Amino acid sequence: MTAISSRPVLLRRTEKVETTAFRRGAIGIVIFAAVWEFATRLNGWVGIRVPLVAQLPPPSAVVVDFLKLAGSPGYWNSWSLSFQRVLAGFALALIIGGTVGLLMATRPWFKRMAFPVFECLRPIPPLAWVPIAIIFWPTQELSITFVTFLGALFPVVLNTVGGAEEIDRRHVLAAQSMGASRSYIFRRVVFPALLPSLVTGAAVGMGITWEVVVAAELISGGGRQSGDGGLGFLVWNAYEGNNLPRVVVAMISLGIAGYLSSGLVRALGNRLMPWRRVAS
Amino acid sequence: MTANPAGAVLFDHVSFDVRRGRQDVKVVEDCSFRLAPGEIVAMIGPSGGGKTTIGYLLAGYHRPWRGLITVDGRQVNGPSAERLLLFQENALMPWLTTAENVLFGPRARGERGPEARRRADAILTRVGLAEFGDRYPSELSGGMRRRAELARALINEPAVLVLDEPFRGLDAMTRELMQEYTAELLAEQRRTVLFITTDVDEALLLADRLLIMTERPARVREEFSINLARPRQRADLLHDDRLQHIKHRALDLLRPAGTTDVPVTT
Repeated sequence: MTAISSRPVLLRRTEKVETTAFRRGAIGIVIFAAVWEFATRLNGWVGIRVPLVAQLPPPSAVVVDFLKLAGSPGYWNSWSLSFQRVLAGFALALIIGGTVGLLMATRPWFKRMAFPVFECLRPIPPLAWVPIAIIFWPTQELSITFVTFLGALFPVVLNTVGGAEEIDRRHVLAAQSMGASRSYIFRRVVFPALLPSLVTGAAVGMGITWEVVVAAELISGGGRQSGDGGLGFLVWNAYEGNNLPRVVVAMISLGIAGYLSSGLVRALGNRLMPWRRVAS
Repeated sequence: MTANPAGAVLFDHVSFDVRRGRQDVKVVEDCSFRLAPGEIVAMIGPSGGGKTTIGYLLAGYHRPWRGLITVDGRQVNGPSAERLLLFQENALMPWLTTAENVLFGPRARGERGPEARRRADAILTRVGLAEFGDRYPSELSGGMRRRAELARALINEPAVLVLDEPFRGLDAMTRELMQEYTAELLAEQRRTVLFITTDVDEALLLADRLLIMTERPARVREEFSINLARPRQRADLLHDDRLQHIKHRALDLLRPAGTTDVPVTT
């Protein structure tokens, strides 16, 4: 009975699986917070100092500080600032990286020409670009966005090239036979065939933009007022003000922001690729 | 394009080489044959012998180095919906549903509106996939995918159809069903078919004529006319002495040089 009714679950992702996944995820978070709280309180209760963790503020203290922060517009402004930088850099990387990747994949001469330069630039950590970025661009905002853009650029290009090389030539040939024009083949064959690797590149790139934006904000020193410098700056600022719970609030904010944005990329990807939601 | 292409195919001393490093490897050499309009011709030969290349030449994916290929008197020049090739393995586009795959040709040529959709529905019904139009290829079985691909080709009304080992990779049961199914479908559609295979029984079931190919470089070694009404039943083949004779002769020709078949004396 159960065996029969559970069979479709193997074939299609159902509502039930989604809610179970959600519940499991929530349980995981609760357990994580409980262990953390317990570990930090153990010293006060029985005098056992759990290595490393004992110096952390307990989650309850973090929540208290978060509630304090949630009332200040500066905190939310930091969210919005960091998001703007990430999204701007990411969108640029997607457009420019996607185009460069496509050119490299479809024009062998271009790939041979661009690849050595590309491979030399790729290992340079985005942060090493910061001085150059400051010289390049007139405003600090543009400099940060540029560094974020560089962070996401390389995974997007690499994945686009990789995806384009794996396009099934028979699909293109079949489309030509059926009378499709070059632009029709691009829209209906090449682009959808590329989408999975493009989304993978975007997801990886999105992760890197967050890493980069935080570091860039740390270096740039943020704005004049507290909370104006973005979430990355908030971490540093709280540390200098010796406010440990706030450091953790800022860290968790970053974590959630990163999770939300990669979730957004994945959700968008799934929307664009309905054929991937069905099992093969 | 003429309104009603008949599908008379001519290969006239066609040669095709592939460049491997600094060497040219001859894949097809001095290959000549004809396909009459509406005729189903099976091309049998050792695998790796250049049969697929001949299919690609006819589809217009390769250009012959020497010789001439014409369809209805006009030289083959690039891919065209008039000559469609079914690839060896599933080549449905995974991002399109079955119905969208079938509609690919009409839509690519700018047909809009419900007319094309009606034809797609009709042809999907004919191949038994009426209820699977909204499914993606990954949700179909191997045999269903092959039928969907046949539908995707047939909606374009090609004069010539190249089937390149169409049943390869299917399990034995599905393979037999698909052979019978294709035999029926081709009997009601008047198309010139070049049927590439390595299986003599399959060829005897489906074709009007067999072309036995040499090893690479490919050339027609010998041909046999079958002269039996289509569609045929598998059982009929077993009891037809002439067909059994053709079969043995074909198998002899296909055996690699140097190996002999010594009958077991009883």
